[in-house]
Amino acid sequence: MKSKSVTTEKTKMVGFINKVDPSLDKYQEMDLFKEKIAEVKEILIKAGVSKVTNH
Amino acid sequence: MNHPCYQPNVSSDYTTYEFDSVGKNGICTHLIKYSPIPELDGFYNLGFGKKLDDHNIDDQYINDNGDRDLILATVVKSVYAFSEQYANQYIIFRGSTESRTRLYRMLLNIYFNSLSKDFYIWGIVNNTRIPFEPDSAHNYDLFIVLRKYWLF
Repeated sequence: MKSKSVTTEKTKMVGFINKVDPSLDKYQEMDLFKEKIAEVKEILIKAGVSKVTNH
Repeated sequence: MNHPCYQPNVSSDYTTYEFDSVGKNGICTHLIKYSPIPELDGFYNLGFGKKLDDHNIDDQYINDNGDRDLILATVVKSVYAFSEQYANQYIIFRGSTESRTRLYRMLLNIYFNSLSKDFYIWGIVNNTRIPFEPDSAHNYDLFIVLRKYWLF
């Protein structure tokens, strides 16, 4: 369950965003940073961080 | 976090942020992109760089527009905005170069006091996850942050 402070922070974020621009949705389909993401994945797996627990 | 920053446009799913860096060398459009890491549920990679004409991103360029602090504050704000939409998702920072990783480390050092109130922050050092320590001598491979509020 989210806390009341989340609502406060969301209000701040409304001011941070200029506008929602659907033309940026095209980046969902692009393989940006593909090699870097593969490296990141390897590092996480080596470190046993496939799911972080024990905060 | 009340540092001045740019106000980006955002994609409908809040994974892509676009803003113009305005400085001594003119206007340079930047993109911040959160990409899911394949086969690791709950992990998103934060990519960041200069927008190219072919809609790709150059994440190795060196910004020399004199507005580094504004850009870093914008990246931090995007972390807040993304984590509101994607609760319980881990965000990974890793530079494309050693200097870019140092930049991310600098970002975490500068904003540690405010970020640590709202996020868990870890680093990976020698294949081991440890809590991030600002201004430590650790040579971090990458950084992991997780919004705290989802546990409340």
